[in-house]
Amino acid sequence: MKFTETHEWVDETKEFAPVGITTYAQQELGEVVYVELPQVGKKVEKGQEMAVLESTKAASDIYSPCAGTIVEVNQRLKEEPGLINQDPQGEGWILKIKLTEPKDAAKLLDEAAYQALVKGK
Amino acid sequence: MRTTLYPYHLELGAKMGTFAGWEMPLWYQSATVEHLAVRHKAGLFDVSHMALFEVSDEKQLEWLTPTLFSNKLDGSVTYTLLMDENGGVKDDILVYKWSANRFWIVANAANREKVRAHLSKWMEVEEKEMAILALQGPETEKFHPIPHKMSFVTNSNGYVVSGTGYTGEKGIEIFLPPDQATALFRKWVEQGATPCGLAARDTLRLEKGFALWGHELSESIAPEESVAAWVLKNRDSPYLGQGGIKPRLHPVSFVLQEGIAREGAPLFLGEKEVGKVTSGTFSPCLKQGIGLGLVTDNPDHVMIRGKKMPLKLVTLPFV
Repeated sequence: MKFTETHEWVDETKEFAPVGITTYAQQELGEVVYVELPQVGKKVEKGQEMAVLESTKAASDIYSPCAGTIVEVNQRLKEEPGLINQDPQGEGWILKIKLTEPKDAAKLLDEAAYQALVKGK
Repeated sequence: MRTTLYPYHLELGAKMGTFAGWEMPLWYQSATVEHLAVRHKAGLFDVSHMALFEVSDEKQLEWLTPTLFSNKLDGSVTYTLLMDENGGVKDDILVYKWSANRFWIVANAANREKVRAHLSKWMEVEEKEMAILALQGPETEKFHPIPHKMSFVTNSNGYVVSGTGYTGEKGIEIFLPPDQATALFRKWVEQGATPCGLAARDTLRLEKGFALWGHELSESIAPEESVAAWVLKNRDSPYLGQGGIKPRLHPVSFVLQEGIAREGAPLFLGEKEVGKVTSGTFSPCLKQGIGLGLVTDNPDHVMIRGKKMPLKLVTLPFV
């Protein structure tokens, strides 16, 4: 699993790589009450906005960790947006991307680097 | 800045955020749970960041607001608007009338300095250092008796207690020495009141359609244009800034089938932009987006991130 400085995670080891937000991110955001999901089949660039999480307080953009094509969205979030709070790095995944170049993910933060980033805040 | 309850908020696991320079609880475990606790049971807020002033000049207070305090009983609490010279609103305030020459004014934390300066131009002002707790919800009486709505009393501990709040539920606000506030807050939490943060405070007030200064009220919004226009009725003598801003807009309240419209989102009637959202959130009771707007014509949709979302106009309160 790799991480971004904007608090997304991606499991780059899967062919269809799930993407979500980190445990830290969901704590900061508070309860997610609504999720705006993208169309399946959409192509995204690294850093491009691709979904929106609405918490009780504010809307937050989710940025793509890597270039690729969105192949699936987590339909359960439409009825149960709170999954993102309950299990952000598991059942609360947001969408899956087929990475254009899986090797690119190596440039993202590993767990230790991400934890260091969060602790520095 | 921190209220005296800060260490206890941390002990309760609050997620803190900065509001008007104050580090306040945004939520403890869940803003939705807190919201629903206030609607169905009892929730407890630390609102000690709010500003409290004492003044003595009834005539000047009647000049600075559209309210006639000489008609009010001692022991009454009145919601009113602190007007500026140009016809806008400096702040919305609660005025506690002790007697014809003693009043307390509760103002928004964000407007503390401005309100003090404005009042000082017209009268002597003393700022009071008090902790303020709000206990709100249908089960409030399990914890403390409730004075009549919009009135206040002094309880057996010498604390001032009013039948007021910002949630639309039965409840009290209580003023006490800061060094005694944590003990009382802790006692009520241990007896079962749910500690609540500012996130729930905002969703609770919005479900009732209550104005928030900086959103529905400001120096550039005529009070006649606001959801607080009802304050202006029954005033036939002049007051500061009266009519200074020509009303051009009117408030609307709406619900969405999908999405959440936030402050600043443009409201449309067909292709024509008719105004903006002043406050918007997801209603924990209705489980849908709700909002207030300020418009020239009634809108039929709101633009959220470039997407047209249909809206339905409804009357207040939402809940």
